[in-house]
Amino acid sequence: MFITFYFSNFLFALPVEDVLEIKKSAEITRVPLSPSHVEGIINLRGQIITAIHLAKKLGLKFDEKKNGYYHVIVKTSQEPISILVEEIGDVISIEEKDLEPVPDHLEGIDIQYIKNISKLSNRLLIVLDSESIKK
Amino acid sequence: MTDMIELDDEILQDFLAESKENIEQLDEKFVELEQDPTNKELLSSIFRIMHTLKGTSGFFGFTTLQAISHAAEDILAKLRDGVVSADQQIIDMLLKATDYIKAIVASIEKEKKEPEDKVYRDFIKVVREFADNLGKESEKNHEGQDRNENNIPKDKAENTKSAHNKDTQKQDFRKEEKAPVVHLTDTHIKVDIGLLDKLMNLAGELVLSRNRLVQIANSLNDPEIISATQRLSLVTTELQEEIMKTRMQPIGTVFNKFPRIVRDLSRVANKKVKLTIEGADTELDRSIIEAIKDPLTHIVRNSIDHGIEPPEERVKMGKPAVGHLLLRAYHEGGQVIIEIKDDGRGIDIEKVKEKALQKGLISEAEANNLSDREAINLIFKPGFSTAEKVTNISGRGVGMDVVKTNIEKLGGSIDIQTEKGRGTTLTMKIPLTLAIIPALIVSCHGQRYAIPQVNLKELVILNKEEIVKDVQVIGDSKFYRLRNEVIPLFYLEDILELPEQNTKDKMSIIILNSGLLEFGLVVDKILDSEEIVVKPLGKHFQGIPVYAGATLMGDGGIALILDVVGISSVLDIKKGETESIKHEAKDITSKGDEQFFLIFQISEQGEHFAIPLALVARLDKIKSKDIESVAGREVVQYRGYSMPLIRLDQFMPVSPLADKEEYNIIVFNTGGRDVAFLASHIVDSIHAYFELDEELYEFDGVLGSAIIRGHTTLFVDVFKIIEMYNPDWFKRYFSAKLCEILLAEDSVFYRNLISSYLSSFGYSVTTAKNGQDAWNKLQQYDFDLLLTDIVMPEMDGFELSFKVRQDERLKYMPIIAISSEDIKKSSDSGIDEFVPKLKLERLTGAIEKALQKRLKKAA
Repeated sequence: MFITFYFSNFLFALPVEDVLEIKKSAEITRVPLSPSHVEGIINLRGQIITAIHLAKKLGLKFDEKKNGYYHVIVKTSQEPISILVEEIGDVISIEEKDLEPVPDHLEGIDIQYIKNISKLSNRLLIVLDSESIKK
Repeated sequence: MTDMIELDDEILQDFLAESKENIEQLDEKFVELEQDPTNKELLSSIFRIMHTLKGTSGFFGFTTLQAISHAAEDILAKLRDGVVSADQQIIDMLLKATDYIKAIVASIEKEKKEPEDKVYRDFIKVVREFADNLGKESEKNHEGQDRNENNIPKDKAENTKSAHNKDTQKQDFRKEEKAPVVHLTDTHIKVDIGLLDKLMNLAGELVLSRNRLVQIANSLNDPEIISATQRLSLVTTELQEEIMKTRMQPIGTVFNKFPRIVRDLSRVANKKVKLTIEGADTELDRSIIEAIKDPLTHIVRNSIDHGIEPPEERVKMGKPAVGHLLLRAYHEGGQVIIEIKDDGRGIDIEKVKEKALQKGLISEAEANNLSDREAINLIFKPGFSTAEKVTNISGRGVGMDVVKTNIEKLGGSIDIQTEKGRGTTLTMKIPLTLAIIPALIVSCHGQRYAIPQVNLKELVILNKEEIVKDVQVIGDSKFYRLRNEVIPLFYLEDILELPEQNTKDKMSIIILNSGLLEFGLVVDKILDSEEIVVKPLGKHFQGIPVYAGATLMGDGGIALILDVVGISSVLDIKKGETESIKHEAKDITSKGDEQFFLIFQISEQGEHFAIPLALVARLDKIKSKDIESVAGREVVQYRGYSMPLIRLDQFMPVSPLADKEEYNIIVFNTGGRDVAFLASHIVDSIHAYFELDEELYEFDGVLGSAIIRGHTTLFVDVFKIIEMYNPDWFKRYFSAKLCEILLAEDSVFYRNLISSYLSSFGYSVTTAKNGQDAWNKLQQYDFDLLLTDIVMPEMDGFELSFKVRQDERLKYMPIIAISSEDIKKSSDSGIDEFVPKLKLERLTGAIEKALQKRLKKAA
């Protein structure tokens, strides 16, 4: 089972077991001097969590969203992180055989954070690697 | 005497607690060993436990315990060395030994002595024999595998016999002796520190939620809700306090180890030391107690090894033969202060400098110009150790730098005060707990930041007029004059690399001290002081030194916690440019504001000029249309007076002053009036001293030149220029008598500057480049007055004055010292008067006074 979400017309997915929760907009405190893809920190019930801007991380072209991002809170081997996305999609299931390896090149996206791709009936699904995306 | 008994009891309790913990582990480890007989690591850890037990029981004179653990250790040694491998029999024997040990420990705990039953003595024999037999068996093993078979029946027989014996014995003592062990553990349970941490964090959260709720309740103004939240509030506070307490321990648990340490150390070092402990019941967070143990031990070692003198030396100095060491802890302002004070010889600052020089930590030039405080702080530099020879006690590779870093890691600070011959006091300031700290909340660009109170010195809020008056802008840097100090200012928004905002009418400055560097941090607003719960930041921020973490505020928002030490390290990097100049120009750092040079130009492409900032009264700007020409001289109406303006290009062969609409003016107040140089722009201020080249630009008005940031920079002789502008400038105010002055000063720059300044008053000045040179000149010529620097090569100012005072012909000669050295020292060295370098206005006064005094004396 995968949770899907959108950014800049790309459809992304993460395994359901890697996602702790999804939060609709939270106040982001900016941390000056931090890497550009780090949007800031949020207060998730007392825990301070780093918010990563997915488009900046993956090098996507994007328009600045006006009314806040969704936070996909992802479990990693160390601390949970929040991945900022534009829209949340459906929960879908994909069979193992439909997961394809990452091609050498994908237009407009940095492939090092991608684990698999899958060709859905109407579009391409990009499965993120939750371990490398946290870096 | 009572102290000693209490101490013994304390040590005994420690021993019992440790032993019980170790023995608990033994059972488990033996079983593990049985399954994994070749596990070397496991074997070594068991061996260590048994070895410790043997050693400590011997120390207390528990002979039975010692004998059993000794035998067990022997068995383990054979296992460890691979002589035999752990089989069931051996493990059985070891477990039995452990059972006996347990019973003995229980008995000691209950009755403060070992049990005297015969069963124990019997068991000693059994286990001893078993251990020895293992040896024999192995010897035979060496002789040949075949014979093993012959041995087995014998061993087996013995083992069965002893095992049988013990079975019955075990039942005996289990009934009587095992009970106390159980009894003693049931009032205390072991709790994982991690769990306590988590409780602590949750309590912190609860406090924050409570704060939020109280805010809401107050705004709703419903009496029922208010009273309910008040109740919740109380319980929350109490809960938090209690949870804090679970982690609190009296500092005595560390302090109480010191009577023994001090005794042993002083014996080894052949010194007599009396230790006084105060405030042992002061409570601190457990993790902090753990963390200060080593730094504290190191400092105490240093005190005994380097601080306190041998008894003979002390008596010679009129001190009691027995040295005194004080360990004191107390609470102050949410912090725990720990003092380690000795009445020893103090830290020899000169030796510290020498050592730092030898080790290449500082340059010779730096050494000459360090203040005492800065010099003492050298001992915190990595790679420093004051011991002339590395002794057994100190100098084990752990330096004071490690002590300092460890204390700082805890959010604490460390400070040294020392007085030669009187002793040294080290003061550590440590937060009560790592989790909750008092902090100042400030804002910058609409976000809140928390600054730990530890580093806070004072808060200053300046209004518009005060900013003009007390803040000097020099190049890109700003300085604030706080009383007599010049403090560099840094904007938080610059440090955080945020866009610059419009300057406001008010300036909020937080004066911070990060150990060596004192600086003012300019923020948008100072909000409040609050207790904050420190939360770590994620790994994405770990490379950023300016943050110490984050905290949640009452309204659910987040404030970043600033790390003052980290900020000052960032500032160091930003100062890097200046640092590199220091290297190329062989910098001599001097003290206070004297080390700042103002660099300016009078035309875009023209020369760079340098003036000591201390001579400058003000920096300002004027419009060129405001410049009036009066009788061929330019003046400007400034602060209600006509102030003369000087164009440098009229007095020296340099490129002409640029035509501009607005000029910078550098205002000097000298000879009782203001006078200003016109400059096209101010380049920068530089915090350094430069080795001057006197020969390259040899004309009046220039003291010398140096290369600064790739530009040849002329050091302007301010007084000479003013005199050239108006030869009567100074004479109008002072009636200088013809008087021969000898000036001893090693720095070319100061020598020329002071000499020129005094000449402008009509004094006749002869210069000498150090104390020895001055002494030679004193022998050859007659002088009315000696003006001397203190820190000079070959012969310093103190030695020179001392020699002058000893000399029959010269002993009444007035001596004025020009230096920043401590005034106190001058009283017994024969120096009449002390004048800080570059406070030259005071120099003429001092000279007049000294000359008059001499006249009186002569009369």
